[in-house]
Amino acid sequence: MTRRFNPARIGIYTLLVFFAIIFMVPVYVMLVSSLKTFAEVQDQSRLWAPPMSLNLESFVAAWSGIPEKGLRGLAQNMLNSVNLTIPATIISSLLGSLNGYVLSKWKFRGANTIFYLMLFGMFIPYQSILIPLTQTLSAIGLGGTLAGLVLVHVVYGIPITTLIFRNYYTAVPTDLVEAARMDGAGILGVYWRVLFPISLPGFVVVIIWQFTQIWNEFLFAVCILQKPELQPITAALRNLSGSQIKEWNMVMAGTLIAAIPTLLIYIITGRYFIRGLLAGSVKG
Amino acid sequence: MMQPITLSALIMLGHTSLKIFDLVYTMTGKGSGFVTDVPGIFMFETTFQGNHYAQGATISMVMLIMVSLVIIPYLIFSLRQEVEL
Repeated sequence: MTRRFNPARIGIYTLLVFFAIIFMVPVYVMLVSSLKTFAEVQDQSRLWAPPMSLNLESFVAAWSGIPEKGLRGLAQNMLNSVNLTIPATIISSLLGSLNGYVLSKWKFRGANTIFYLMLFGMFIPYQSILIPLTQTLSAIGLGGTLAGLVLVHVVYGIPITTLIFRNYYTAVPTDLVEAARMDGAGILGVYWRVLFPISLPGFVVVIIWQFTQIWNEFLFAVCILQKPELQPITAALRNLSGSQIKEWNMVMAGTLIAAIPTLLIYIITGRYFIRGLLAGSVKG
Repeated sequence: MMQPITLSALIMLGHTSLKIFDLVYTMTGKGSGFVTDVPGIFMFETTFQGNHYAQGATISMVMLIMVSLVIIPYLIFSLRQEVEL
């Protein structure tokens, strides 16, 4: 307590606050722009100024669209995003958890090599698999559908979910697994009765991670889904800003709407997130 | 103590910036005079807007090789380290 106000600490906090402010500036501009009217948002000199009057029209317009101007609202795309993100997150978390379990507790010959080969899937640039991906999807009849996009996100979620769960399960004492095997549990029995019940922190991390990634993902969405009414919200946002006269207040409102679910999930589960990260990575 | 984590952070950020697409594409596209063109956008526009599939596939392979040059040594290094533990 005596060292609370030493100069070094004040310097560190000043620096941190400074960078925090820089980080928050775009959010501030987004918020004030979304609350302005179209006439006000066009005045570039008032970019930094707060809105003259609170105005929620831009949110209504972004949500339900302006049919006479040919602008689609985001309501349908929001629903698409939910329909895409929730199944893809759940399936890839479950698969990653099973993979992580086998790769950490039922190590077969070459398990580590296979794990690192899977990790490579996390690092490859997605552009390099786009052409075969779109061809494969149309060959199996999932081209241009939301189900196809769910499949893609499940597959490309597996490396990171496997990595997180493998590290998490490595920290679990192997004695637990051996005790369950003595009691006659098989490979799935051990998972279901011993490891699954204690994986909640791991699942929280993976679900937040996957939810955010899939919700924000853009490249796959624009490549696989061309129809505007099928696209998730990230791709639809681009269409919102793609018209000739950019109604920035509406674009900003749409961006805020698109950001709400990830913010919510982070605020609700955030305290488990840090705990889960520590549980998975720090050993001993 | 900071050395391994710094290496991991560098590799992570390095490969992310090499394959960045969405932010640049939505904000400026390839920009006037290609000032903000990145490999990801180049590949996407060549393939899906220019319909030059062969050329697009080549760009994507070059991207894959560039990422692999960094990632494969890193993964082999991590694998060896884990075997020693």
